[in-house]
Amino acid sequence: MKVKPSILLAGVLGVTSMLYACTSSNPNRPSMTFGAPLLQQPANGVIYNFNQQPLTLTITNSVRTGSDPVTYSVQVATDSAFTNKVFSRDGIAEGANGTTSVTIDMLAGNQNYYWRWNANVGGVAGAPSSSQSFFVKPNIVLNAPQLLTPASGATVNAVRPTFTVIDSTFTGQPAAISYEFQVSTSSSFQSLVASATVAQTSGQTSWTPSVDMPVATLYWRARARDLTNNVDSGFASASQFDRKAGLDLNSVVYQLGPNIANWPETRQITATFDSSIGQLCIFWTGEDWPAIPFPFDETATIEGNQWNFVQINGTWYGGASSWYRPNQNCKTEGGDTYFSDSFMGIQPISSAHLNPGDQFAVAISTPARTWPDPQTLNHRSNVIFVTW
Amino acid sequence: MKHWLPAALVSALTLVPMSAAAQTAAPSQAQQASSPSMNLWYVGANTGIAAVERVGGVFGAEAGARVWKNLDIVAELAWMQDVVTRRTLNNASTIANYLQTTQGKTATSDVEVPAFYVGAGARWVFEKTSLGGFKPYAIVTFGSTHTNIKSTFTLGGADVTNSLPQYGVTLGSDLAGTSNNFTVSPGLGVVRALKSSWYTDIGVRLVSIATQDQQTNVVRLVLGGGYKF
Repeated sequence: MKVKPSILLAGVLGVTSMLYACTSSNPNRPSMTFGAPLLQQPANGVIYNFNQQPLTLTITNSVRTGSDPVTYSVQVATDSAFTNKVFSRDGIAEGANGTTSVTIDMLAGNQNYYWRWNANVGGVAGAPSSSQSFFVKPNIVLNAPQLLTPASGATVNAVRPTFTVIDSTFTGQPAAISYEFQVSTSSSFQSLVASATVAQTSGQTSWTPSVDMPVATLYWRARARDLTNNVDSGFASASQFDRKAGLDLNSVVYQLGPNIANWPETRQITATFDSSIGQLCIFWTGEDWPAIPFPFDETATIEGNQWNFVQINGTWYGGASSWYRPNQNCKTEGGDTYFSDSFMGIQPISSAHLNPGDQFAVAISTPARTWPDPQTLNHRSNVIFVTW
Repeated sequence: MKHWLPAALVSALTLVPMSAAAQTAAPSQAQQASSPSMNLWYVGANTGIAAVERVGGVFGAEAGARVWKNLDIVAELAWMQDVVTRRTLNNASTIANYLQTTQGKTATSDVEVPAFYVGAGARWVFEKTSLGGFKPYAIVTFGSTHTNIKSTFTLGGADVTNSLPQYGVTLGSDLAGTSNNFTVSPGLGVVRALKSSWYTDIGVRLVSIATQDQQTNVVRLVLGGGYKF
């Protein structure tokens, strides 16, 4: 029997095997097995303020059985079925150190979002990861408050003037609003004389510094703050005012004695005050004033009156208080009853009640308590502030 | 012994020229031990064990034809129960660990890779050598092995192999699917003529399969026999 058919068969088998050797019946399979990436940040259920965007999503890179290159795709949607996608990106290169991150576009506020990733190997998209969600709070916008007082260009005598703003307007749903006040000697506010953050009050919000303002040209500004949501307005344009020593006598409501704003200032004073006994001591230099008989006891002589000025509800009230004799510096009217003893029954100054640290103004003048009778030169000293 | 080559050429090539009578005379009983391992061609079958990472069964068939002196051209088929490698098992364990970590349940894995080899080549029988009546031979074939990777995964005791995407797993061709892979299979063995035209064959083969990302080397121990024509 000839063997040629066997040889032929063997040859055919060999050639066929060679040609068929390197084929694969694995369409649509990647060359290696891999798992979906694990979602790392943000954790499930995190709540973001609107202004914390844009957000960065981070995963732990996929587990795999080989070393083929891996890319990733990410999807963000408003529903857990991912039918309403608001952001997606493909071909994200795998990051080093075992994690991969991508920063997504700004998202609308007041919305819950779902996110997931999947890996891609050799053009084959892997199974998606489980999804997680996060919430973006509504967009809160605070507008800068309007500066009210001290007005721009004003002259302020008070050592610790009160700063007032008109409450800010806003959009969104802010939490409690506060206002940050700043005072500086520089329009750039590089260094501050005083600053504080105070809670908003209805309509207007005010702040009185706890330190004295220097006598200088000062600048002040304020901004609204939502400290809960970490949202701030911009600062309102700064306002300039002049802080001057003394009291603006033209702004005083005179409750006992004449308006001495225009009396010549012929003495310079310094003063001390002991609130425990209500003793005011005023020391002066300058013009000599004549002494006259005391109207209520002609056996005594007087030179003039001490003056008290106190701010009540933002208004300065003043009046001539104790008579003093020539060369007499100190007068005592009582501690807690200082103003009531000095201005018995005259409201509201007689009801003024100051706390330690509060300030009021003092001066001396020629006789004025029962002015115009008696009167002498109608001169006065400067006005200074003392601390209760 | 008949050859497909012309008798004169065979005479010229063999070490000991044979007469025409000697070429056609049937071997006697006394000459069985020294007679050629095959006359013209043969067919046979074999079984045995095949070992890679695990030991499994193997069944094969073989046919050949003496083409020149002691040279046979051969063709063979072999079915091997499981040629899974350690690397493949480790890959599956990697995925099982991933399942366990992400799902919080005990996960297991296993892989079985049955294979079917078809090849053709040559065998040289050392006709003049006798080892207790057995004649040694060397063989090499080239061909293709069809593999079918069958992975199994369980999670919390339940088989999740068909629902792995639900757990974020994408199976690659290293743990699933079929492929055909170039194979070379060298081997050594011994054959012994039995009564009439039967023979027995004992040998060891190395089946080296060029599988994806690695070379799978299967050691076959074969025991078989056949009929020579």
